[in-house]
Amino acid sequence: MNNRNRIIKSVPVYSMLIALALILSYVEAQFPPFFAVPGMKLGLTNTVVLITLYLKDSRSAVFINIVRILIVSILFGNGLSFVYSMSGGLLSGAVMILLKKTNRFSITAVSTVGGVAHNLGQILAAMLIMSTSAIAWYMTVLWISGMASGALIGFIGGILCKKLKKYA
Amino acid sequence: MRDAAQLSSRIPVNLFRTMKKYKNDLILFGALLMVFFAVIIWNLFTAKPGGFVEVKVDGELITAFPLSNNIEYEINGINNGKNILIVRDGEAWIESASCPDGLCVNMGHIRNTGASVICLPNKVVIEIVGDATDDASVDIEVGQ
Amino acid sequence: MQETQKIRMKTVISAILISLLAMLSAACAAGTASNNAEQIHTASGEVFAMDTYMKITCSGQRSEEALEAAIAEIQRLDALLSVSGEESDINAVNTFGKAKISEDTAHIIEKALEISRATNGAFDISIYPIMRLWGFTDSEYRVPQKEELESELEHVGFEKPIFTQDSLELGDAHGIDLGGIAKGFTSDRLMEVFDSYGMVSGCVSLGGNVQCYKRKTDGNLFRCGIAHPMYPDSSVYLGVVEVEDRAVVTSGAYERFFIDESSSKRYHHIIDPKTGYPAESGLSSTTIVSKSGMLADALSTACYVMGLEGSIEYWKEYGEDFDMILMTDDGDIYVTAPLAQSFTSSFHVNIIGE
Repeated sequence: MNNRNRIIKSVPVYSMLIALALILSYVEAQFPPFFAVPGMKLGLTNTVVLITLYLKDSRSAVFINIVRILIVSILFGNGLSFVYSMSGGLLSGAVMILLKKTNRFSITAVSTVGGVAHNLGQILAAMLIMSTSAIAWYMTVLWISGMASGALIGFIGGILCKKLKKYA
Repeated sequence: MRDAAQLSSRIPVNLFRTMKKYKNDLILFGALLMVFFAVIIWNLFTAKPGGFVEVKVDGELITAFPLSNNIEYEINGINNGKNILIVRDGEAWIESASCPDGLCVNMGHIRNTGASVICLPNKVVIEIVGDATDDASVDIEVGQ
Repeated sequence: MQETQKIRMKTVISAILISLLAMLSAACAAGTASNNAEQIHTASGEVFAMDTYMKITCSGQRSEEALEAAIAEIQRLDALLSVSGEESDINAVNTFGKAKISEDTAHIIEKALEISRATNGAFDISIYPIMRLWGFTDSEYRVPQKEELESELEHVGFEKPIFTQDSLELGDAHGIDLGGIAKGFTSDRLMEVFDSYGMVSGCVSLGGNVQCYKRKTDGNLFRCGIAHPMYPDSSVYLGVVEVEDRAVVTSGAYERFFIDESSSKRYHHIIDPKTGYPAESGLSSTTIVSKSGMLADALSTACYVMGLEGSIEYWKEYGEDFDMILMTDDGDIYVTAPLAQSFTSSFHVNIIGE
């Protein structure tokens, strides 16, 4: 009974998080595309993964991560953006989970590293897709932008977490 | 009621406490930034002027040109896409392209070994390879 | 008064004589100068022979004559050494199994056999029937059956033809072809032609086989750009070698190959005489630099078949007469030490020997 209740209770929470992810991906789409590799994204939707990670647990975070990638790609993306989202999202999710487990870093720090990992995952996928290592050069710019977007998401995510704590 | 003097004397203590709380964070940030700068500086120091520019379409090597020559070449990308490659004064760049975003044209001139310009819609990549040699002029060609 | 007049006359006459002398020497100087300028007259010509495009350039007073003689010599040797044609020694041997051969042919065959022995059969003129099976002889390309190759391979072997100074008999062999060495012999002969006409500079390219006579007219060495197997038909070279009085010959799979439609595999023209298949030795380009065009021509093929290790071993033993520049399939470049100073490249170069 308890389990069933938990699952029923989490449905609206997850739906809200996914809705948030969709909104964020819309916001993301307003930014100019990355000049070298169409399909690469800022990773704003990482916010919901971060929130899930801090409000619930790692398993939920992984679940939400995969679900948000699928839904956003099906609704708004194409095959290419799906690949980049997957590679960036999975690497970022794994790194953030590991970092949180150490319990030594704030949510902003975790998210910053997550942002860098997100871009790193996308670049690795791009190198495979375009079969050239020349793309790796862009990692310099993406390193900093990953840190910046990650820090921003961490900051906002931190605030959201405090506000949403009672609903977890 | 605390007065201003007492408050202001607490600021350094508060700052110190904040810093201590986020000590690990700062170390992490610092490390990330250090990696970034290390890579940038390493690239700056190891940048070497290149020998020639490779032209690849859809991952396949099409041709290459020495950077010491002056060349204007039309690259045939996928789906009839076209990119105009210019080589002059030891640099190479895409002068104009048929792709919708024109990002490749804005990417600028490249001259160092390893640098590249990519046009994703046309699947065109130009990349600098090899080292610049002082004089690449030749009197006769062997083997072709 | 008469004295002064006499002195004046003498002065005038001396002045005229001196001016005449000056003008005469000036004219002489001008004459020799223009003679010298004439000596650097350069003649250049092209001819299609031995199944390929050939370009000849020479400079000297009698350059036009030398050029004519060079072209004539090319055409003579083409007729003599090709595998077809009435005047061809080789055609005669292949058709009748035995024939009399001229001095030039004998000279080539003797050298070819010597190289075959030294390279352990990596270079082999009796490979002709295998080339025929693959279609390289008439451009009707096909992939032969394994059995065809195996049966024909039994007749391949440089020790099979019976050679004397004025005749050649096929013996157990099924055909010979001097294609891998004829151009080298020809370019050697062209150097002799240049010599006999007193040329001061010259350069020939026989289908990509280069041989340089002395230096360029400006006194500098000839800069020879070696084709890069990964960028053929481009002006990107694997390196530039500076030479005087040397032949520079390159062999590579990219020069001549066909793609089998069904398997999409590439088959190139440098056949390994031991297997009957295109040589896959790990090298994608072999360049030989030597005073002898014949040696450079034959060895470029032999080294391609022998591979990196084999070629280095061969050079260590016989390398007084030649140097090599090799490129592996991975793009690594190797050059023998004596040549390293004269070789520049955009790529990293490994030096063989000290």
